[in-house]
Amino acid sequence: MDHPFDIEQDNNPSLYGNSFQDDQYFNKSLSVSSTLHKLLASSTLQIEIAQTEKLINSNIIVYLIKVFDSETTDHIIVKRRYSEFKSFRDNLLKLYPTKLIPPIPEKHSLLSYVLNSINANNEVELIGFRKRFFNQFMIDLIAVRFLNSSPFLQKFLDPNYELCWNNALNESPISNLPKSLLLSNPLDPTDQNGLYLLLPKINSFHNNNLSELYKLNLDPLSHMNDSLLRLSNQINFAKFPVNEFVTIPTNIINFETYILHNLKILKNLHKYNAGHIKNFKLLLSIMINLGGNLNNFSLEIYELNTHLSNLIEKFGSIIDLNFLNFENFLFENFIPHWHETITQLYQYFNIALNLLNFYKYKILQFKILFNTKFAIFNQLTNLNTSLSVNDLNHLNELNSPSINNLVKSYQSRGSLRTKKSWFRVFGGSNATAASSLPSPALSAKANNSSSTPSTPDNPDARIKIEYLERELNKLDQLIDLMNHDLVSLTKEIDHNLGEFAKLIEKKWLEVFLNFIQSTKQLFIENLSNWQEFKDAFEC
Amino acid sequence: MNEYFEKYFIKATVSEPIRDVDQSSKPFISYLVTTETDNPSLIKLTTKVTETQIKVSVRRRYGDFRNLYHCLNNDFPFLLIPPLPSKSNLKYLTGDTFSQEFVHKRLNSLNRFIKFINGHKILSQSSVYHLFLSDSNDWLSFSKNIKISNISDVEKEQSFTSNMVNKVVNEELIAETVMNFLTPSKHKKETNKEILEITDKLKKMYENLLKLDKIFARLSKKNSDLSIDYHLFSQQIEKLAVVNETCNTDLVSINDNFKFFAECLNQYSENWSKSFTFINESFLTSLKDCSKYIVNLTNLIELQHNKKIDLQVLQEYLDKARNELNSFPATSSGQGTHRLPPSPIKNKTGGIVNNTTQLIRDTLSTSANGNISSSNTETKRAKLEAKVHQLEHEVELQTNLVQELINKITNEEYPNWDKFNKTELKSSMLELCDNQIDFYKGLVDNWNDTESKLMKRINELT
Repeated sequence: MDHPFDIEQDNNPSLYGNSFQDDQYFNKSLSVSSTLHKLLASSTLQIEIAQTEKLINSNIIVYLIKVFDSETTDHIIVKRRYSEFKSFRDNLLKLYPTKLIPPIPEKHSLLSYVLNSINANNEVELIGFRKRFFNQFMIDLIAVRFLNSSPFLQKFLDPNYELCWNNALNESPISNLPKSLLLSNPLDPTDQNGLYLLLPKINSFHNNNLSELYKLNLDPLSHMNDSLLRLSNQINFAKFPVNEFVTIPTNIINFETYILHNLKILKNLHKYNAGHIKNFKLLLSIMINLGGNLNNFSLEIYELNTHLSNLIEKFGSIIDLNFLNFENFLFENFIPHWHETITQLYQYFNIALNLLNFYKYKILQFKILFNTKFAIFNQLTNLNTSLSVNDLNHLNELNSPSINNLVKSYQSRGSLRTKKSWFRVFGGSNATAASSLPSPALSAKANNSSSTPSTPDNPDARIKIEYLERELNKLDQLIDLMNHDLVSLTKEIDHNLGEFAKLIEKKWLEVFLNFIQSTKQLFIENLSNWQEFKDAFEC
Repeated sequence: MNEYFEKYFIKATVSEPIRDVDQSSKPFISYLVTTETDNPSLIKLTTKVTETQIKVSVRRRYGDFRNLYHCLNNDFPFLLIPPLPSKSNLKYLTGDTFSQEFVHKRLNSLNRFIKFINGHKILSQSSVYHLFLSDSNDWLSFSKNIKISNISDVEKEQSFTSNMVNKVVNEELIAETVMNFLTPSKHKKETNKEILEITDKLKKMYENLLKLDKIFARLSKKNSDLSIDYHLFSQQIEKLAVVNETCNTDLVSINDNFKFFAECLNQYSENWSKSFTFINESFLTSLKDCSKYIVNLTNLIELQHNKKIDLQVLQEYLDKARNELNSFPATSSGQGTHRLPPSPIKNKTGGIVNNTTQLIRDTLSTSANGNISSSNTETKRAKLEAKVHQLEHEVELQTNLVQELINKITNEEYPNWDKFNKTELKSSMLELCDNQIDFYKGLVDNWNDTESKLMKRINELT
């Protein structure tokens, strides 16, 4: 089996130009790819960040990802740098907006900021921190089993893509992603259905930056549920076809409060951790000082009192030993396992909040569709009322159930002139929702014509009506689509949050266990030290 | 007395501080002094006169200990009297004298005080001490009576020996200033080799104890900080359990995990807090006391030193007087006295030193009086002779005294202190050791339990 490093070298086109031997190259790269396939499909798949390296002549740090199988000797090593991890994760999020993609360290995380201010030697600590974080990221990632078959993940781990990661970003499936995730199928953004492009945009939803969504302040889900309820009342009132998607399940609403509470607590814990680490370091420096002083003490009184001097020396060495145990606990256990896991958990909850915010945007979009529909409907009514009742009959032939409904209700009530405009009834004044569908010019025209009633055979009015009919038709299609999407999205989110809760429980358990086991180890070692000291008294 | 010390034992301990109220309903703390002994001279003073081995307990308050201290100080000026815990005037102002911390620290020091006396050949056999230990009413009436003389005593002492008392009172400030005597300038003047050696050792011990005291004070502070940290952690984890309960009804099992862990953290926090209390109340007090004992021993050495200076002055004066006597016929009378060296002892302080100072003053005044009143050279000469004689006697007396003091210090008081100091340091280290062992033992057992509980749950999940 070829060593992966050789392949990496061969793989660099810039080094060899076109002169390398094609056959050999392809064979090698193919064998690597097939090994990777095999590994990713294995149930005993293992992954870790084996080590870090500084690239020659640069300050770039690369992290060596080792993919291996605990049952066989197959393994793949690929080098990735921070920015590649970041673009990988960002694009994963876009590909799977409903999944909870594990976090990577923030570029300027709170921790690295603190480290920077405290320690001049921070680079090593930062790299160590990122290494552990990426390690956890990869492990969490492959634990989401279905991702293992994702071609994008495979490219990330494929040494053939090591030096041409940008290619991977420009190929399918990434190239198939729409400009805005809101204008796509939430369950599969690469879905090429053209209808999605017609969905309304929402201005506050920035450039697809899914990882920042948690920073946006949106209404809590429980409020959204109330407005959904009002919407469905309106729909009933207008006798529109009833939606499948009516409310947000209480499960998800509860989950939002759960996330917010957790974030608050985790933030506190993070703060206390920082304080605790500071205290612990002070304790360590005191212990060093104490050990040194006790040793000195024992030397100074050695001639006066050998026995006491020996005891004090022993005392000093016990303090030194305990110091080592405490130091080991802090740097090998408390910081990497407890403190950093809590940082990670904090990010995880933000990711969950991201997901909920994405969900909220989809619901907002859904509402905008309805508002648009109500607005157009209002215009239509206004236009129609300028025609005689009899004239409405020809509308029956239109293939629009909503118009038919309207016509029916219009005919049964005789006249709509005395009623409030539909527009107001359905809260069409909610213009904050920046909808792209009703063109301002069109609505202006429609208002114009309604304010100056036209003659029955006005051809302008007919054209407008036909135009609005088409719009309405399209809207109904979109509503249908979104309705369907929202139902499955809700199901998916509910499921994913359930998985998330399990993951969190497991993470907490692991943190607790690690804390307990490592402190227990600390206790046992310190205890035996002290017991040894006690024995020294007895002899 | 020595025989009694060898032959009989006195085991006395101080314990069980309780809050009490006196006749004017002012609250005070009393301590239980329990004594086991077969010492006949002590048994004689108790209510159990007939028995050969007895166990008596009495309640004494801080003032009783102080009376005992003053009596011993008066009765045995040449001995190392163990220092009492400070009266801590500052604490009286803040009304903090009943806090557990204060009372426990004081209790520890009082115990050490009694322990030192028990281990002392002479002090343990003193009748004042026996009276203090006995359960008869004698001590009460006795201490009431000595109170008056004591107060004046105390005042006198405070003005004269302000140095010494202050050293004890400003417990927190026992810093370097106290070690005045150990500064090189004074050191050089000391000529006795053995004394020099002793002061050297004391200095080393003292400086190290001071350093340790500072470090342990910081360590105990950190222990308390850690205790607070873990308490905060535990609170947050408990909150998590509550959040889970209210928001996530289908994941109730999680709560148990959080609760178990929070309990663990709480226990950890409590242990840190206990460790803090122990170091603060017991270990630190013992370090502080040990350094105070050194200070008292140094005071004794300083006393010896001052005595020696007095002796020198006396000697000089004697020489002058002799010269005067020899040259008497030739010189005129007054000049001799005028040329007398000014007494260097005026600014010297210290209870015993005072006597000598007084003596010198007396002699000076008699000689001055003699000068002025007599016109008859014959009487002058006779007076001078008498003075020289008196001085010779005094010098001899003082020399013996100084020698005796030096012997006492080098042969008895220093070794005795050394032994006591050693056992004290040893026992406080042992106590600290036991305390730490307890700290870890309880945790290990409990955490094993929690570990298995959490393990069970994690196995269920995977």
